[in-house]
Amino acid sequence: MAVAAVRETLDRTPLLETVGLRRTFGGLVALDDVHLRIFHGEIRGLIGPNGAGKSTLAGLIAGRHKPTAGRILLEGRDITRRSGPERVLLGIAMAFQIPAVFGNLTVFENVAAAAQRVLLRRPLDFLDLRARRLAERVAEVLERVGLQDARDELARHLPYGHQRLVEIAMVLALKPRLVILDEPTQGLAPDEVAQLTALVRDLSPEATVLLIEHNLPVVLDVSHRVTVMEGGRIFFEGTPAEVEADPGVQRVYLGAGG
Amino acid sequence: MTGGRALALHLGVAAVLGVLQFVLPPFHHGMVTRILFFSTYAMAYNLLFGYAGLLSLGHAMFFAAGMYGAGLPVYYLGMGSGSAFLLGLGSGLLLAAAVGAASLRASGSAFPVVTMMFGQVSYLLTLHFNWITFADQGLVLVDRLLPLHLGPWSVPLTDPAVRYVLAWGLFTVVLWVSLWIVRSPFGRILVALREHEERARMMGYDPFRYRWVAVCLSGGVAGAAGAAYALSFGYVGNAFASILYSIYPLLWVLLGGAGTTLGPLVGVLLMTYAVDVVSGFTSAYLVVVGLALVLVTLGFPQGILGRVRARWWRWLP
Amino acid sequence: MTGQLVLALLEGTTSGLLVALTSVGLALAFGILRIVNVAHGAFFMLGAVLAWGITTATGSFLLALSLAPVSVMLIAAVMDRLVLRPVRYASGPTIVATLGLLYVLEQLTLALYGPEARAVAAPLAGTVELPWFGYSIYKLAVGAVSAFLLLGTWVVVTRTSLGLRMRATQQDPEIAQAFGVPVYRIYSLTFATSAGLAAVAGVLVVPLQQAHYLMGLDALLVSFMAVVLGGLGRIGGTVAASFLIGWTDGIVSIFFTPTLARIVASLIVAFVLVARGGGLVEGS
Repeated sequence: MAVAAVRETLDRTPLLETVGLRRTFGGLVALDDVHLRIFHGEIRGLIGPNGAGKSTLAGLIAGRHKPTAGRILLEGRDITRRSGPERVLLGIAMAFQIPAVFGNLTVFENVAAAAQRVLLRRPLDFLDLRARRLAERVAEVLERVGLQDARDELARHLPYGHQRLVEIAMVLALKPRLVILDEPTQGLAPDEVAQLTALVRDLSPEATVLLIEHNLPVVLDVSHRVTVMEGGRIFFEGTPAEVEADPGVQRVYLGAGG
Repeated sequence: MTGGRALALHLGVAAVLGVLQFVLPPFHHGMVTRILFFSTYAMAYNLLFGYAGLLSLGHAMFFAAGMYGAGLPVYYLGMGSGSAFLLGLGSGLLLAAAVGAASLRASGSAFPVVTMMFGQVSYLLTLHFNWITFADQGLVLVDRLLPLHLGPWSVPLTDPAVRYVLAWGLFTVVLWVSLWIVRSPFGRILVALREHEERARMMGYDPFRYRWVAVCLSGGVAGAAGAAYALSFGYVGNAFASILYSIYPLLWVLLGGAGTTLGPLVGVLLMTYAVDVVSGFTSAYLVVVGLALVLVTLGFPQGILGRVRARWWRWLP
Repeated sequence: MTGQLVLALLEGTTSGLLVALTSVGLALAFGILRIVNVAHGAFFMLGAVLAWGITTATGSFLLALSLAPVSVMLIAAVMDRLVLRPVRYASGPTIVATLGLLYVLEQLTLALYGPEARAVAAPLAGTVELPWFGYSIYKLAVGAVSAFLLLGTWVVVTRTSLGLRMRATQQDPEIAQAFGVPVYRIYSLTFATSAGLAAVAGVLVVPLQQAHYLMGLDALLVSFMAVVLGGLGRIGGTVAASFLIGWTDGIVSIFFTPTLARIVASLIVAFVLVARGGGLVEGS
């Protein structure tokens, strides 16, 4: 059902498009001529062997780094020159591969720091007149990721997997249009993985998801379409079934384990 | 609720300090007055160091800006104390805005070095413009200070009792303001930037903007402390612009507990008396300052209230 | 006129060599240990003060030239072991700790040596007769000793296996350690050397300048300037910047008061760092 709906939108403007995106570090070419299109409401899986350029691509979309060449378009508007903080306000938010949380703040504070970015927009808001609304939004997000009981724990005291969930909560609190998740299931217990998968599935179609993962069953299960990268380029794109069946993909990636 | 305990504690501290002026013998009365002024300065420093995580080694320039910004107009132009105070505060604020805009372009270890250089320049400028500032000899304002006019009363600022009230008043105001800031969304952003700048940046916060505001606040309050000090003691001297008075707030805050609202007061209290005692024995009493810095960095980086907060009183702001 | 030019050149070169000797240690600390050692000027001062003490007590400047730097190196080694290593050379704590150590060293010197400035007679009297003027033999010796030590440092760092280990540690301490480089020992040795070089400069300067417990502050400022202008940790750059400072020093002191010169120097350090943006030691 979802696949058909996505096929319908293929003629419309993509939510996010990269045009000839290229990123080099010194002599190393991390990304080479990447043309990616992600459509509204889809869950796009992004897979590939280590060093394929997945995180680099995600980082460029989120605004962590500037591309060496190429453009990034958000609903047709060129956002290549926009900084990371600006892109958050435009609706792009990313959870990193190594979970980044504010160690000496509580879980509540971590998520509040994110939520207030979108709730408190005007200088007067900083007089904390909306404390209750902020608390409500934080509680809502914490419930969604299942961390409501850890509310007052210091983030650095949490186990790795829970820190990852805190970060995802922070991303969700920003109410982004495009959610980028970089290997979110890494370090999670199996039941947490299932919970996360359900969470990701639930994000669509209100939000759009770019999901980088090594956990193939999860990716193939939850994505509408999958992009396969290798050596800085897009190698193959298709539905999960198509990806699983393609011999090229098997050779490059699936055969090598994952 | 944790908020209640914190509020009660701060009220209690302010109240005790307020009452103390009636029971202290003259020597300690004067000591506590100075401690209150320096605690205000230390709280300003704490905002930048303890919460935003920025190590300034030139903060004396803001204190001195306030001092000279208030003292020079009084000395040369016969300005009234109220306006002079505002001018001093404004000087600290303006200098902080300028220095912050420049210094924040340097990150990591470069920031402390840059602030140290700017701080040194300020000190050297007071020497260079000796003919205005009379350098370390200083300007004595006492005769030129007009009493503060509050309605029908004429209040002589340099009267010890008045001085204490002024110091206490400024301290209390700044204490409340800092308590409010650190628990506000703005305070949260500062800590987030300190804890994980990249994450905060990718959450929509431009590090430069928020840190710059922190520098301005910190410099402005430091300037206010300097202005009030100059007007109350009727003296402006460039010793307060020297690097020693940039190191003092660092030590006070570290010792008392960086990132706690009451830590600065504790640090100032301890070090002021420690230095006083040691200076009775030797003229090299500043070795205490050096040793304290080393020992605190090595073994006690949380500081007194920081340790208290970690071990027993989690709710301590 | 040629005479004045030659004099200016000689003075500038001697000055530049001394500045280089003072600053190279700081460059090594920046480059290899990646720390800002605020107490660096204190090593220079200690060298001078100890030189005065040894020379006055024994009458031998040569003895001072050998003993004082070694003593300072020992002090530095102790500092490294007791203070720097426990905080693992982390940038914030190191700055604060070396600041504290600066005060301790200065104040101890004040207590033991006093607040006065004291001089020592130059060990080599007399002048070398040039067509235009006579130039102090001692100053020439100072230049020679400085040049020798600088060359020696360069040779050690670029040509010996010790130097190789130092550069490996600078590149990547973790990988170096994995390859068997005793990283912490290299740190201690480098730190002690940085102190020793500054101390020698202090010793050499005493007959020219007088030893005073606060003289380290100017040495620190000058070192900062040389290191910052020289590219933060690059020895060659630091030496080049030192010569620039040495050669302009003569002109500067004609037009500027010492206070103004210090103001300008501090502003130069600040603005170079600001213009450069970014960090200090994490990638130069």
